[in-house]
Amino acid sequence: MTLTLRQAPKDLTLSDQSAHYKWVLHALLSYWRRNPIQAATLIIGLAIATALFSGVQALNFQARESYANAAAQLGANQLPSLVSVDGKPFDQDIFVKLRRGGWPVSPIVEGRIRVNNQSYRLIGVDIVSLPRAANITGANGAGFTQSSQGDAASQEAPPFDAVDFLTPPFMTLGSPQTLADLGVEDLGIEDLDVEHLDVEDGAANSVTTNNIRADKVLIDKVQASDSQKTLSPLRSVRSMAPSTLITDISVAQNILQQEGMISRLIIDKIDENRLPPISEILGAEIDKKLERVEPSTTSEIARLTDSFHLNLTAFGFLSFFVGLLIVHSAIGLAFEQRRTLFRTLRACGVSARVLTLFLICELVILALLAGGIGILLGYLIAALLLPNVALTLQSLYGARVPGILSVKASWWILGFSMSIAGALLAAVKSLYKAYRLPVLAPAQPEAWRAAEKRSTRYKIIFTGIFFIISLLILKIGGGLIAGFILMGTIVVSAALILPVLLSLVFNFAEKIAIKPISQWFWADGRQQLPGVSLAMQALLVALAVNIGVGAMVSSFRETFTSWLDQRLAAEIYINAQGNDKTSIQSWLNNQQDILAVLPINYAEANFQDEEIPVMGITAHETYSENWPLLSKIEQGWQEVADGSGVLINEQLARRKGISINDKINLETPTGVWSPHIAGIYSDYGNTQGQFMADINQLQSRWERDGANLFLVRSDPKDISGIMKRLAARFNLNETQMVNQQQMKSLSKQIFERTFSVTAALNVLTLIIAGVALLTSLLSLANSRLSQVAPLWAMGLTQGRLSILDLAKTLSLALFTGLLAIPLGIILGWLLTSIINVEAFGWKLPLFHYPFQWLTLIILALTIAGIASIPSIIKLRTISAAKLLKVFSDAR
Amino acid sequence: MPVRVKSVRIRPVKVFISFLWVVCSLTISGKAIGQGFAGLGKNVEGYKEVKPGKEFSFPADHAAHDGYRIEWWYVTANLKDEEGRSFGVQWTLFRSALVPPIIYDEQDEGNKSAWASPTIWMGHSAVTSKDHHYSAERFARGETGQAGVDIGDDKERFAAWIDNWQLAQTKTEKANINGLTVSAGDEKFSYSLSLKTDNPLVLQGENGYSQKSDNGQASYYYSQPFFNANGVITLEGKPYTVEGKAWMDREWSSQLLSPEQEGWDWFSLHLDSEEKIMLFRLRDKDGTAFYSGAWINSQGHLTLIERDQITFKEQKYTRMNGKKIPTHWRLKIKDRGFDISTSPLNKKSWMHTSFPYWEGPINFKGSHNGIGYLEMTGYE
Repeated sequence: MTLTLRQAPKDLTLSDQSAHYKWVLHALLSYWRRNPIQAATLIIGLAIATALFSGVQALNFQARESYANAAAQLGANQLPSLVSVDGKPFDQDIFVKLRRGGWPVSPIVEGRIRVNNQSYRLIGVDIVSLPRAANITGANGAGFTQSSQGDAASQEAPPFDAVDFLTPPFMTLGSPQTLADLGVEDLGIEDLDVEHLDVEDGAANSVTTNNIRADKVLIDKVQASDSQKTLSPLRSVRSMAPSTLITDISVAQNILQQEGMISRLIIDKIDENRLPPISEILGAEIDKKLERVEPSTTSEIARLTDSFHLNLTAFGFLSFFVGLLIVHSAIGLAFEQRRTLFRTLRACGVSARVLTLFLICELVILALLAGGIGILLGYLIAALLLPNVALTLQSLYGARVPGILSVKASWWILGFSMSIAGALLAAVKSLYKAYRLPVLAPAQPEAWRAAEKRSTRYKIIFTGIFFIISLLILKIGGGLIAGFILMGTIVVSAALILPVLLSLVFNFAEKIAIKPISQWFWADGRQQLPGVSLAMQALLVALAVNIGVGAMVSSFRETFTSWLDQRLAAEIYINAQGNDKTSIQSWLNNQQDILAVLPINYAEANFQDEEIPVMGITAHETYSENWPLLSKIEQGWQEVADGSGVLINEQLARRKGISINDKINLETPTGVWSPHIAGIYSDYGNTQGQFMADINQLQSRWERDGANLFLVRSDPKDISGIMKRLAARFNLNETQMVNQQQMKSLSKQIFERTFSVTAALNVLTLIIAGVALLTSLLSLANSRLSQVAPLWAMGLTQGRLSILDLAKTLSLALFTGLLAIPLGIILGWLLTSIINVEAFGWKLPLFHYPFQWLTLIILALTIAGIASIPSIIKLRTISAAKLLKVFSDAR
Repeated sequence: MPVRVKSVRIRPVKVFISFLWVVCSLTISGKAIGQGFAGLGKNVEGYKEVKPGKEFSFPADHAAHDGYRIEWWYVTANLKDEEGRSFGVQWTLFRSALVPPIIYDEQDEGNKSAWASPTIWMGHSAVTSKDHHYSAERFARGETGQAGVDIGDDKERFAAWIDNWQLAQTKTEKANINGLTVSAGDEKFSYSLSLKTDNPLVLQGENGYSQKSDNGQASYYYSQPFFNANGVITLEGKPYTVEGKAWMDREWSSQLLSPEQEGWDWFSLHLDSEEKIMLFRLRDKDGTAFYSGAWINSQGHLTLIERDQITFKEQKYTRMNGKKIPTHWRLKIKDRGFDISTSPLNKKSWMHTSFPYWEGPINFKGSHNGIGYLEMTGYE
């Protein structure tokens, strides 16, 4: 009995406590129920911030993953390979000879086929000799074991049947997307008609057959061919690169009509010192025609596309920041308005610590909800943008990204953590205030606004500090990260200083205003500032990001297209490598309709312990009139022509700190050559350093005869005629002859696609700012009654008052928009002159687009106008009784 | 994975089965495995049949027999260096058809690719010393020339090869396979031996028809057990000049084993008297076994040993790779007064190939003394 009695109060306390906590949480959360708009603001802000961030991350992730897959395909990231110098298939006898010489090589046959008018890359492999590291499907160990310590148990089974792969009817592997494109299901029984892309005569050489599931496959009927080819049954393999089909080498040779030929040889990892040299096995004659390609750990494509992804990442982060501003405003308001509640709770015995913990709990719950919505939205954004991104990447860099988004668990984790971290970050100040809240402090919401006003001083101080940090970073810091930090500090300082600047503007306007109503208009606007300043900050950042990124993308387009115009001054480009260069040259020289033939050759020079490519050109006005030089000495082209000068590309000049007139030492096979720098040229897109010299220098100093590349000048109307004759005479295909006009139109299409992605992101960030404005105005609408009521009492109609309110919001948006222009210019400058240089080594000239600014300001005004509609309607429709009540309350 | 467990349990007789397994183990579909094994035991449709009474014709029969499912060229050598250290060398080339060739004629018409062939080649090589056993394997397929067996345009020059491993005549020899060099190598070992003999080939079984079970499974089988070998073995960069005796086996078939047979113990013995003995035992799942043996006199005359006269008895086991392997044996041929105990040069002569087995040099003492080679498969 005693025992129970003693225990009873303890039990009571425990249940009391949990009831107590339940009650605290209930009290806190009930606020959001009573203020659904604020709850919505918080959740929408956080959700949109998470959405843009995770959407952009998803796009980047998807693209990078597909580069990695492409790079890993057939071991290209791990294993070296042998290819022919001219890029053409070579006799498989070379494979046999090397194998019989002890070299662990495996053959690959590659080509393009056309099915249903779409082009695919067909790869034929010999899985028996394929090295284990050269996984064809992303699965480990698809090859046979070939090691001295072969261990069958450690070999993972590939996702297909090796016997079926090796024997009729064989099989073809493709990604699920590829199978969908081909219009087949993974049934393993599909046969497709294949059209072999016969590049030699330009016309597709078709092959048809009675396919098993003809109802599913649209066949492009082309003229009949003697042989009939069919793709073997298809099997889907998730990890495969898009538009790529892998099949047995025998099938590929047959379909591609390359019997006895292979495209390249993969070399397995081995101690090559114990093997006879390849030149000894094949003989010098054949060895000369082959070239070893080392594995590249970072794919060329990944490096080239970095610029594009950097653009997207910057957008993602800035949008996240805009979203957080909204969250910050919503949380700040909610905390201030609950001061009374906090005080009551504290008075009821809830400790400051418990209260803060509950507030954090509440935030995490809201953040999880918002994060979930945000991730789904992000997925939607990414899925909508992916086809455009994929097209851009494909046409810009030839990078292939599947158009279907895959969902990863890591997304959810990243999305939720960003959402929670963002919410907590945005609430730090409010949480601290709630924690330090004196139990007996006056619990008036207005105290918040007063505090905001007081903090103006701090804002100026903080802005000053941030500005100094930015300058310091700019001065001493290097590197990409410093560039991003600099951008961050500038954005934060600008956002901080905005309310101060706006209030100065309103002060000034008030002073010069004469009529009482306009004086009231400006004074009231200034008084309203603290309530809408966060929304205005969001608008400022959104507009500035749009202006900055827009300027960068537009500048890039302008620069790049005009640069291409300059670089591609000649009408036709012919790659003669692997062909009879001398006869091509003499043939070209004898054509009536060719105005000039400009041979180009390449060599490599050792410069400051690096092998740098040197391009040998022929002196001609095509260069001196068109070639894009950033700076040059007088007589620059003259000096290149006479061999006393060379040109250097921008990235190498920056990297080595070289400027014009500097004398450099180039190690050549015939000794050291010391020309001086006659000029620096822009070389966008190139990841390497490069020199340009006269072709005669290359021929004498590097002992290179002939040329690999010919630029042909002609009348544009003669281009197609010349190309046709060239193709007929020398069997040149479309990869060996390029029509400059085609190339330019392609590059223009690419930029249109980049623009549509940028434009979509622009609109989204502006919508976020609009939401922020809408919610601030709505939450202000109630508290503003005490300001509006006196004017109404003095005879201003509700209609007039609402127009004044709209005008106030619009003027705020207008001033913010005007202030966003310089900020946007600074961001654009940062992106093109600091971040781009750090990331790629070349500077992008920045152009300004006033028309874009105007459009954006109009857009900002429209958004502000739309955002103020609900509060205006509220003001117009409010009953006179409510306005009168203001006076009775005041008493 | 159930597939792998199964592979361990069924891993059947002699290496060529393992060989098929290498192919089948790469599959995940039970279908292909089913086909592979059903084919071995029952379905020989599309392949040529092994029948008694074949007239062997040399050198043509040294080359590949394309209509048959499985075939091998097998050399083992017992060697000693100048300081009396013992070594063993193995060189094997297997040929196997994944599917009957007719499937290509029917389904792959018009494909002239050298890879469009059902043929898979597998090479095994090994060097055994007292302390080390080195092994390696190679794979190839089709008719590209990466691997193959050829007797030359004039049919006078035999060569079998896979990659840079080969077993080939250095000069033209008529019907008898003689004057061979055998070479192979990998990261840690290599060897090159020349093989010579004046003795004729020996047809195993009944004039080359070698029975493998009571249900009619059989192969064509001939040997050259009289090679004198000399050459160089290089282990981890160190060369050893060696000489000794070598034995070559040639065998081909389409349906060699009954599905019940699960393991194989095979001996080739060089007696000090220059006589040779070949003994094998195919173990059934039910514990019974099919014995076979041949006594070859020093002139190469073969006498079949009565099956019921042969007894095999495991005497000592060695644990390796988690398996218990009988590495010491007592062998008897009752009617010949033959009773020997064998011991391996290296107990751990384990072939670390895709499908592992035990193969290495042995010596024996008892009623007769000598050296030889032992191959054991199917031990768990």
